[in-house]
Amino acid sequence: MILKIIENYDHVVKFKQMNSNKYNWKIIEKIYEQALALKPEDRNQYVKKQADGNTNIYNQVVNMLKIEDNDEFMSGIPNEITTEALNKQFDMSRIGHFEIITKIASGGMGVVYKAQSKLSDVKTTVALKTIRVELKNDDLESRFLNEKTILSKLKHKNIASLIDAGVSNDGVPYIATEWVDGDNIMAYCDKNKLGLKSRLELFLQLCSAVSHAHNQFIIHRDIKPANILIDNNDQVKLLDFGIAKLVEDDNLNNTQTQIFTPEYAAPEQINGKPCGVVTDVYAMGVLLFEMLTAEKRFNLDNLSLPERIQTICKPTVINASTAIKKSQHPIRSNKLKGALNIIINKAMHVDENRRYETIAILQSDISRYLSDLPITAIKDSWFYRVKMFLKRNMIASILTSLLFVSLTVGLIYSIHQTQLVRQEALKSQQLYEFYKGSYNSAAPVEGGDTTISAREMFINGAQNFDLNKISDLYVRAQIASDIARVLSEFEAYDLEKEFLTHALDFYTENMSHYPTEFLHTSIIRSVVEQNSGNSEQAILILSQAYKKSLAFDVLIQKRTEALINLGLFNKTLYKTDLALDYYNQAEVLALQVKDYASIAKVNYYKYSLLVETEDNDVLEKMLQTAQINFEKAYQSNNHPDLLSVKNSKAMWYTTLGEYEKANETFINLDESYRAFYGVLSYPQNINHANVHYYLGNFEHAIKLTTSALDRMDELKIKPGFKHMAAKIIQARALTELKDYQSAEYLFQQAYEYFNEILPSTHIAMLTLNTYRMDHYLKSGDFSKALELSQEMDSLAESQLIETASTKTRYVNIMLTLANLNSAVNQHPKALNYYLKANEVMQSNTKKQGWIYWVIQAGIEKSHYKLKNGYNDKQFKLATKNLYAILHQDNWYTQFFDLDL
Amino acid sequence: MNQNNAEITHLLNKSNIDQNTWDDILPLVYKQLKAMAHNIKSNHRKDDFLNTTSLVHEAFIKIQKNSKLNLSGTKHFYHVAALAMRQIITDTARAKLTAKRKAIEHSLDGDDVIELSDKKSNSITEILEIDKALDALKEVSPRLADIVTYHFFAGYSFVEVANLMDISESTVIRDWKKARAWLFSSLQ
Repeated sequence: MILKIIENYDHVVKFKQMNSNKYNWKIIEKIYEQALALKPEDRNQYVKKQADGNTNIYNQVVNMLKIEDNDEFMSGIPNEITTEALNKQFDMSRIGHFEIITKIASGGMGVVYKAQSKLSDVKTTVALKTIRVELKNDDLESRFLNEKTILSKLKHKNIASLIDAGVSNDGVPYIATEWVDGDNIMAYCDKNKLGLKSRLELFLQLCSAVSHAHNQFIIHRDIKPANILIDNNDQVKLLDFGIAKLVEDDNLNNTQTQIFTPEYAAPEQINGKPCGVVTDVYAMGVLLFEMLTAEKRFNLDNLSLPERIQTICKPTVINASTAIKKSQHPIRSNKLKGALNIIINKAMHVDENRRYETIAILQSDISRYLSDLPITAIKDSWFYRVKMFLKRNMIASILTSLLFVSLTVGLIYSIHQTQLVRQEALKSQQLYEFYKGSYNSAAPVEGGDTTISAREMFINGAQNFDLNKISDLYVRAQIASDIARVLSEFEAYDLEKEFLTHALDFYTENMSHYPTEFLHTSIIRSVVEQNSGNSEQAILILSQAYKKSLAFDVLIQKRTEALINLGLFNKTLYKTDLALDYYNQAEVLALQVKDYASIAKVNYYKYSLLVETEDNDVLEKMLQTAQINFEKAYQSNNHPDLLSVKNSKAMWYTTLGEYEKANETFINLDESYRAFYGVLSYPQNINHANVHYYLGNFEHAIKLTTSALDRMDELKIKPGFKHMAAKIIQARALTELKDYQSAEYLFQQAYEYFNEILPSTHIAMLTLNTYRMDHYLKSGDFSKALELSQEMDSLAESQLIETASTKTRYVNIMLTLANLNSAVNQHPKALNYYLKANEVMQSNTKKQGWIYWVIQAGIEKSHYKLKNGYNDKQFKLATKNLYAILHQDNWYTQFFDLDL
Repeated sequence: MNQNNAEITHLLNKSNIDQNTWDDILPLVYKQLKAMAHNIKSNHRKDDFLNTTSLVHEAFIKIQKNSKLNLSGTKHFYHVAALAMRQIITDTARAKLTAKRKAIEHSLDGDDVIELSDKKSNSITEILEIDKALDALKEVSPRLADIVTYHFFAGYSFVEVANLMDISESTVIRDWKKARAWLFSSLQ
């Protein structure tokens, strides 16, 4: 903004009589100074003489001398303007479209005002928080807008909702949230002399708010009494979600900026390490301590920074029961002994790994306590050991979290339904048994567990687990399906089938009670078959189950899921019509219940199914529908599986050839995974690597596939399609980096594997051969490339075109054939293939990665060789872009480095 | 040290500060000044008078605390801060003038016309004219122009200006008079 104004100064209005000639100025200056030394009445005469007929000089000096009679000129900027300038530029009566009513507080982060929105006729009162600008960097505005979108999704009755966030015209960043009238939680408890039960119930409300946000991947980072108000309806309102992150300076670690409040900050926060869900768990622990004792957990007032850090980070346990000091405190200390002491100390454990994994589990333990049930925290040492074991074995804590959460979900909502509670308790009891059994069989001696893998441990545990000892049949079925889920993580399909059969037997017998569970388990069962390569069997199981379930009241989303899976299975068998029919049925159901994620997925699947046969208009419409619904699903705050929605979106961008966007989505997804589970997902790494390949980031592609392959090895997953997919991407990237030997080795492995299980006409085989052909061409082994191409030429011309299920694959095949023909100087053929590749690519989308430029360069090269209509400008553009993306030593650099 | 400060310090510590560097620094200092004013204002009562010099000093102290500005860096800072203040003041004057013109256009009785021609409005116009003329003066004598920016727009005292420019206070006073006369003549 300022630079613009400065530019305007270049167009300065020309002043009359003004002469900017420096030579003239020297004369003028001299005459002026000398004239000034004279008596006022002699000056005019003197100037006239010195100016020697130059009227410009004469007029200027005379005018300058007139100032002597004018004391007012430039005697200072009128007060009105300076005050106005400051008030206006730094207007504190308005920020954004809010009018300030009164200042509430001023703290480390900025100032808080009570303000009113002036945007609509209905005046909304808000709490307006301005952020100290000094804390911020330049992309402030975009960052605020980004956070605004995320935070506005937080809709929960116990969270003060975000109304607006942005940067005012004066450059002051602000956040406006719902105005809450009321005391903070500590003051409220004190004022109303609340007893233990009421305090815990308030705390549970708070837990559900924090848990809700965690499910959206938003961490609070600054939970403290001042941020928790109780409104006039006795509702808890948690303030300032995500704001700590917003103002955090990327270049600093937290110790220096100190955005959080030290008394409630977890050790990892103090040490400037990344924050996660457990950071909030810690703060909740401190809060619970203070709520129950009415005493501060830490008194840091007169301590220096190192002393503070030491106090917070050293592992001393203070039991809440011993901390109560006030004699009139409404809670007696012996009430806190036992369970509550344990819960608090577990929540605020110095070691992140020993805290509650999620707020939901903390919440469930409080609920259990209130219902006189045993709490999970007592099993601390067991969980800890299993968890550390899993960590050492590089297993996804995804798995652990999944299971740990499954122990508690449902319980929270059914706390008053005694039978359900009993069943849940029984269920978690049995899962502990399973864990314990698995762990014991794997590691009979403490510390002797390093040689066995988690996969072996769980398979062992599952084999030795006796389902029949569980007398409650419903719980037995649930345990069976939970264990099956663990096994599917390790691709132990046979064993998984056994457990699923147990569960299915029970659900089949009790269809009328558990139709949704029945269908759900059937889906998992059919996916096992699909993953083992038995699509027919998968279809049989699922279609029968689906038909059976129609007679009962099944959750619509489950039905949709079943139909989508049936579509996918049929697609594998090239039963396009059937697949389409299932997709359409699924879409109808999804539309009924506004299940945006499923609508988007169905349209995305339909698109990939029909991409070769349908009209562009129809395809375009599907893509648009998918896009719109992905956005909706993304924004709706109650989708149970945000990660899967994000994942589909990333895959969708990949199909589209929007690699930059796909990359961004994957990165975002990785962050979510890491924040929540601490590890990345290996199938996702493989898909991400593919995107990197098309972006020309070959090193990244290799890195990601290597880590995915390592993970699969660690999990002892037997070689399958996922292995091959990773190897093929890695091989292609290695070819581009000219490491032909390593590439050859990997291609050979993939080829041998495919050769064993697939017919030579299978699409995957054809694709692999395309890549191999490309590899031979680039490594200079022309004879092998030509051999393969002759085999494929006819195939490519005939059936390949009809069956290539995505455009990207088709383009790849055409391009390889084109490059090969070009390399052996078969330019008419080459041109033909280039044009075919181009046609399909153009009909796809605009952003195509480097492949697009290869095609463009190839077309022009062929034109040049054939001496017809060569366009030099187009060629230069293509090669320039190509070289910008690819490694400078890439094969294409030589291929297109022609003296045209 | 935050990024804004780091960037300012980095730019100020460059051995050769050319026009491009100034252009880079100015928006940063401007932002900083605004932030300072914002925080100062929010801690004062609304009717407290806050003058431009104290604002610049406050901003400087904040930046200095976090960076190791050397002597020449300090001078650069005050220079840039003065340019920023000039910008802020002229922007406001311009906005004020526009607002008044608009008010007159929309008003049916003649009261506002009288107001526009009153002394205060004259001063506003004058500030804008001085601002324009100052650019012309810069062509003629950059030193005189600097003195005007420092003393008139940023409100630095003659002693401060003398320290800033490494010249004696009496030279500053003499040059100030000269610059004022030149500007006066330009506006005739």
